Amino acid sequence: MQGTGVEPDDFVLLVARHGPRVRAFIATLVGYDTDVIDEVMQSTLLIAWKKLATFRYSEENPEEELVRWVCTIARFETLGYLRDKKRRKTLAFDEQVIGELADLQEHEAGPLEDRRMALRDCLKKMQPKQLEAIQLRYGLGLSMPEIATREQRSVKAATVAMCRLRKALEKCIRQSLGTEGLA
Amino acid sequence: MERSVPNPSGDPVTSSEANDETARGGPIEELDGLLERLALGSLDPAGWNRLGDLIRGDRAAALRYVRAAHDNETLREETRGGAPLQDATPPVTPPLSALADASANAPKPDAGPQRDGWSLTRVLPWGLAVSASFLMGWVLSTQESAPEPAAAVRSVPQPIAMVDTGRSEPLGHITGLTPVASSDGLLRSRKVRSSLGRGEVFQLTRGAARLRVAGGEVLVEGPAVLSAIDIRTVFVRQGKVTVRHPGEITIQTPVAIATGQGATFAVVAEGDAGATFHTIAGSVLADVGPERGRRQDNEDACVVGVGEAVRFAASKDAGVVRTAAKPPATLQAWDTATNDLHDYEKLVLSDKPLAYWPLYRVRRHRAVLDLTQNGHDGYAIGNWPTELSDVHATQSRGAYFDGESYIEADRKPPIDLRSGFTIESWARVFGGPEYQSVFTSRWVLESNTPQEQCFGFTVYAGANDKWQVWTGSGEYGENWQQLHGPDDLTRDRWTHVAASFEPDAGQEEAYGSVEGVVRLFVDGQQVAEARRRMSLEDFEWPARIGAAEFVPQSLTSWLFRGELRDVALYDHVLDPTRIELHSEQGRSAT
Repeated sequence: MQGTGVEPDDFVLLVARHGPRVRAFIATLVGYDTDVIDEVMQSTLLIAWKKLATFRYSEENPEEELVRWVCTIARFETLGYLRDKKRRKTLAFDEQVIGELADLQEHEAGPLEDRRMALRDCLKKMQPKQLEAIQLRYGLGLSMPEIATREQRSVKAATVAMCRLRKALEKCIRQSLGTEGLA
Repeated sequence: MERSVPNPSGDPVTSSEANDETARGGPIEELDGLLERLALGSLDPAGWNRLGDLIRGDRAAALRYVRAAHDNETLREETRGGAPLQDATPPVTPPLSALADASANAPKPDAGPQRDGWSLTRVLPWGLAVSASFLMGWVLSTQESAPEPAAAVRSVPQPIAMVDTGRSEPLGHITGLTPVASSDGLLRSRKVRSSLGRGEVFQLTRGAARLRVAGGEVLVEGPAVLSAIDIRTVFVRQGKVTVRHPGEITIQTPVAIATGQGATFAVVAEGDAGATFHTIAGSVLADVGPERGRRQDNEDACVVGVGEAVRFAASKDAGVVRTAAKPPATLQAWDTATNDLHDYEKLVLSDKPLAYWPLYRVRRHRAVLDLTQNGHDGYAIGNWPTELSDVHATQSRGAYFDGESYIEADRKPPIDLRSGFTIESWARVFGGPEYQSVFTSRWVLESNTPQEQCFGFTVYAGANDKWQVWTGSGEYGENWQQLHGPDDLTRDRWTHVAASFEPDAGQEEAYGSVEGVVRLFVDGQQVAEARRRMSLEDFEWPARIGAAEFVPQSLTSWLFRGELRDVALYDHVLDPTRIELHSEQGRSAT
């Protein structure tokens, strides 16, 4: 047991590295409201920053421990919304489902990170036109009707094209992870 | 405020490829259908409820949902703001795992600035350089050519031509944007200095832009759609452009092309309908587009003399017809595009700021224009609205900061303390009393330790309700040097606040730090001054409007609550009479 802590400067850099993973964790718990996701992310990191002096890692991978510690804070921050009448309606799930999702991600952290890296690599292989569509949908957060308008085609055509892109990405991810053919 | 989903109306996902769940049965298929709608952003509240039911107590189903949600987040992160798909993982040195073996009390190898030249803003995946290939297919009718008038060309069916876009090879970049072009005119968020990839579509719906292509200048008036397709060729599908190039450059439209030699000429492209070329200076050769079919004698080519204009019009019956035309009204000089600026903006620009952010129509996914066109455009970070009312509606100048939002310049304006600086802003404070940063460009090392070092500066509405300017000496163990105004600030009132640092004479070759006088101005009047030593240590700390700490965006503190506008940073000491003039003339500039 090393029982040591993290310097604030290192924390800043580590959050820069693992922030997307923490945000994805929060997104799974919160559901649809991106503003709530941002709010929970902000309050989570603020609490982590304030409590940083209390964090101690003990195992071989302190970086992973830190991320899990931050995710635990995020879990309780999300549950805090359930106790607030006004905020409760901004969450997609109840306490049981949130707990199950949090536990699941704790156990699946490694494979999920592998998948994230595979997806990033797959994006690099896409054609510019495909990337543009992905960026409109996810980077800019446009709806399919908005994308269809910009691409000057029907919503159906744009939707089908997006579905094809997603399937191509899924295939690429599975090939990359060596799970092609698995469910 | 953005609410990405649910979309009550939903998308008409009717294709089997879109997983029409009604055509399937079973919980797995139903789950897949819901996840597909999640990916498409069309999962409505009922769908979310159903999703919760399906994953409750079902680990496999929950894992499918978690994967899908993580994928969405990864795609969002990787393409947010149009970022290039590069390795966005910052170099974290030393790795935390290495620290496990280190003594908790061991001194750092180097207590000095250690940022390895990377800024957090760089690792955040802004500015996806999506190189969009596009169709420039011009398919004309196959009718026989008509004999008259002027030069008529028989057109033959041509396959749709696909530009070979390569992989976003930069052929030029943006060198100027008018405020409305930056805030509302571009298809996606772009900023001054953004590159133009080969074949990348540059679409401007309103406002004006200045591009640098192949060593020449291209002025674009919205609405326009164009693309640099070769080192000396720009394809203009629609809109008005004016080209100035010392050498050779070709402007290609769907109907005709023009090549200038040391020329300045204007082009009005009307899509497949026609194009007009107007020579302003130099020599221009205009011709029917190569894909249009031509006679062997090439009689369609013509030299467009200075002051002349020709129009090539596509006709189903007569191919392409060339006629003389009246010179079109086009933007011929970038200065003309800035004539519409507010008088206060012109006043500020006349003092040659290094960066100037009027803060016009700030919102998510849009660059915040540096009106100097020096390329220090910022990004709106935090709780900004996604959309604002129409640009043509009456807009007050400035931006409302809600205490959860700020703006960060894409790159820090490079001031040199040896020549001094001035920072000014108009501020209308709603929050506090607490530390609310108007502007900062600073960094602190080993905070709250005996080895603490402070660098840079911050302008605050302070916790004591007074305007403050903080500077860093870089000395070990020395906290921020604060300078406070004598009077309480006034809430809910536009106030002009400025601060300057004037170095003592003879320090042009100073190394390490520089001594001088820090002054604080409120409403054009100097209210405080003090001698200060400022560290010359410089590294990639950020410049922020409305926030202070350099920590990841979610940890940013000392956030401003109120309105800010016309934030300008000068790489020189602004004369007090000019600061007073700014205060006088800017008061009514809301």
